[in-house]
Amino acid sequence: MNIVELFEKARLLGDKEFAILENEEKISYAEVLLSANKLSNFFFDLGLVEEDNIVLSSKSKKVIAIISIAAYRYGLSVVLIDNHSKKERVKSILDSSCPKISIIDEELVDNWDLANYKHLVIKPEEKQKSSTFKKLFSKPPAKPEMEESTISYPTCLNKYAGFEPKFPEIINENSIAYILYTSGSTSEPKGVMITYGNLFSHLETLQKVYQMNASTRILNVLNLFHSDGINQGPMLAFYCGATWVSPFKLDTTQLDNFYYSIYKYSITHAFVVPTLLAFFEKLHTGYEDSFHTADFKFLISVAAQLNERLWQSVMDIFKVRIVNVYGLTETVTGSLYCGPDDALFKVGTIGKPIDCELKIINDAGVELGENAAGELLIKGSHVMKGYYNNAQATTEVIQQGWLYTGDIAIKDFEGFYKIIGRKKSMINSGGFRIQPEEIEEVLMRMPEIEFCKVIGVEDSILIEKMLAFVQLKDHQSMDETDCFKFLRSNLEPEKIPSQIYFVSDFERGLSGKIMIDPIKKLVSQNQFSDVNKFGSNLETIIQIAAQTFKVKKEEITALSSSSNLAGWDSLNNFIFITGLEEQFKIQFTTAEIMSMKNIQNIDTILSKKLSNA
Amino acid sequence: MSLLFELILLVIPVIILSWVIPSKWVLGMQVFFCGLFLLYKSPLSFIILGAISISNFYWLQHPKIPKKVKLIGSVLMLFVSLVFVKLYHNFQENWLIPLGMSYYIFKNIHFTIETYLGNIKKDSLLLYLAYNFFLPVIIIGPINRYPEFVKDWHRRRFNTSYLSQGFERILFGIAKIFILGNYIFTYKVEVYLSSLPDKYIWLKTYFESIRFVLNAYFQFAGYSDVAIGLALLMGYRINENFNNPFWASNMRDFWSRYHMSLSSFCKDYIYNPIASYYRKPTIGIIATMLIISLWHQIGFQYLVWGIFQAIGIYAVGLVSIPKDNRFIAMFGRVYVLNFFALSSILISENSMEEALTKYAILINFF
Repeated sequence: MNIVELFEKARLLGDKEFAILENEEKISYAEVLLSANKLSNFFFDLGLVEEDNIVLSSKSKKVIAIISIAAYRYGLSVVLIDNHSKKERVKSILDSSCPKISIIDEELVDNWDLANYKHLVIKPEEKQKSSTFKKLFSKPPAKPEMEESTISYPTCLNKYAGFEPKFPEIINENSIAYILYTSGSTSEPKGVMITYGNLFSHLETLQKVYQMNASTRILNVLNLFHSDGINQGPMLAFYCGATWVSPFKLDTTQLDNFYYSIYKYSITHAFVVPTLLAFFEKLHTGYEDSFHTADFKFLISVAAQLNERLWQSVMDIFKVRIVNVYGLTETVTGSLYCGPDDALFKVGTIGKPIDCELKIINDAGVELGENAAGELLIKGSHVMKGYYNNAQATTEVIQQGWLYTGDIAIKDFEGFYKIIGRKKSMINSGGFRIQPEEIEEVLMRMPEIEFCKVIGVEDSILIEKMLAFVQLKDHQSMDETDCFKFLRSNLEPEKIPSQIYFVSDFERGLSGKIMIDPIKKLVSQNQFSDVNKFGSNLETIIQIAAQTFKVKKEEITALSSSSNLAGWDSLNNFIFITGLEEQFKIQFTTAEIMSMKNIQNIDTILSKKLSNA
Repeated sequence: MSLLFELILLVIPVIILSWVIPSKWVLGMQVFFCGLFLLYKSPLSFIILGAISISNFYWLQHPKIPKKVKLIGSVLMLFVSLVFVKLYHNFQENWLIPLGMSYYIFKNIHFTIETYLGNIKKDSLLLYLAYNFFLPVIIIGPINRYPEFVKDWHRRRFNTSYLSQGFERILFGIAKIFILGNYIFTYKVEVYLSSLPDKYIWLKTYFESIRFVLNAYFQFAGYSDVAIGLALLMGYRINENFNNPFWASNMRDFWSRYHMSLSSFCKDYIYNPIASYYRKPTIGIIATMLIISLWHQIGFQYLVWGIFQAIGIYAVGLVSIPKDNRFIAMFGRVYVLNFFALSSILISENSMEEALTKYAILINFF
């Protein structure tokens, strides 16, 4: 289905919920269509035509979703910019995309210094919160000035009430639907061009793979300025005639809201990133039944590589299937799907391709067979048109219709693909794909710095965390906090490295390039010493538990507890704890014993106790 | 009985309102109606519960008081008020009847200890009041847990399967109370047993003890079913209180299936801390059973009854019984019913003398 057909379908849905957002705000399909009708008149009056670029940025999920859908129906090309982006980056994106108009939140005009660019300010209509008594006896509010109503959204649409929509009859499949700027250097931003053909053929694939229909309710609270947020949230819901649920901001301190939402909103599909799953693994006590509802089908992990151990562990805790999706911004969202069907499902892999062709090649460009590692190439109707106004970058990654992913993969005998490395320097931290060169470029702006290198290392929460290594110029000194302060003022929060190390020199290769492997080796050695300090007693704990509860060691996992392990009753619990005390020559306090919920938790308490001893 | 119907009558508007009014007012409405019910049935309970809820909440919230002092202060305040009222209640010929006090004191102890352990982090006075003033469980439990209550509140939505399950549980509950409890085990069996000639005194005494525990079980399980059903109609799931207890094959298993909300409370907050503190599980078992017995009523008969239950549980560890043997399991079930029924003679009679007379009759048979 294309956008024109989708609008026809949406007309039949009327008052059906299209979205449920913060504060229980509900948007119906009828409201989306009405807004789109008015916006088409607004776009027309602005003189916009198909494939004109418009910039869109707002903290309001409703505004982003509605304007995007309306712009697609009008045939425009939407450039989404994260409202947390820094001025420098926005400027480079604007210079690259040359939008006809920017529709942005009011505060962004000053923050981004956009007064000289053509823009429309978004000012949400404030609902009157006065009591019924006040409403009855107070004077009616004064009508807004005409000028005001014409310069802000959505009041600028009021004058189009009752107007016929000014939609083009057809939208060219090769027109650009949106441009999403990925992390790249400021001087050369990379805008991924996704055509209408790319977008809607991919939504068709997603609907088919995820088995979605009009009764689907998608929980997707991911950032709307990323492909997985906008496309697998509002756009996928709109495509299926389903409901997109996004009632809170993704925040790991509000994890319980995620769990509660599954039942509360009768969710069928929930999108997560591996970092969120890492938090699920840590904070699950009392929430293990969250996905056991009559409606819920599966979790879908997107945006980053899903660690096999974490994947299995979260599935074991919550007794729920996690579908792993591999894709890039350059392929709209996905390409390979591990699940939901058994035929596609193999933990530890990225599954199999759907609606696209794959091949793995070596450095000489020769296609490889099974179990041979090489670069993964993708070809399909969902592969981007190219990078906006950047022919060189496009040619580097697309050759004869094949997209060079930069990921090193192997294909096993059963046809499942697995990512085993990366050819590009891209870092995937907490679900954000970050080009380290962008951070290095900012660091190098500091006059004290001679050289620097940013690398990604494995991390249990962020999947990959960024570390910055800095070499100062002679006779220069700098505080770590100054460095962070500078980075924070020039980069988005997700691009700030976890740590900054000062080094006296970098090891370099023959060409003079800074070598990454020696740095990584140094870091991994330090990290291993941390790992050894923590959790090394698990084996002994399991052994004592097996002896006490008279079960096989293999039956006990870190998540075993009195509720799921035979023989772990209150009396044996006591024997088990005294057994641990004897083994480790310690004595637990009553409070510690009462806090012990499962093997993992006991390991944590024991490790703390031993480190304090 | 009328208490049950009055409760059901009042819960009906609460159920309807809780699905009609905006969700931000639902908790307040629940507290209001439950408070109204307490004020109507037992103003003293309203005062005690209101005072305990608010003082305990702010005491535990206080930023300057050390955590341990908060814990000890709160548990002591709750425990002393329970003991005081229970003793006073006995001495003053029942004029003072705080409704459901044993339940809400234990609920508050649970809240205090979980707050101390750091398992309750997001505090809200309204949620805490709603937990304490929760109409379905206010009279006779089950002792529902705060994190579960909060979880269900946040998950709450209109669910037709909860609705049908709720009605079903209420129906089962009423059937257990009226058909099995009141009609069969209170009326029919009692009439039959009292009609037996005196020469069957042993049989009469023995079956009377069985009748007593089965009647108590069906009445109590029936009330729990009604409470669970009413809560489901309001959109909350509360923990089960019974799991076929007479299907247990030993006394340890029995006490994990009988009045489960109380026994799991005692396991978590009495057995575990005491057994781990003294490093002696036997002390934990004795303390737990004593608390369970005195929780019912403070008195010598209940004390001895509790010791009997502790012996029954302790004895399980002394004998090695092969698992998965159907004959032994069946024998165990007969043993459990008899052990519980015969030991409960201690609490079914008005005085220790009367209980001993019953035991003398039963022993004379041999």
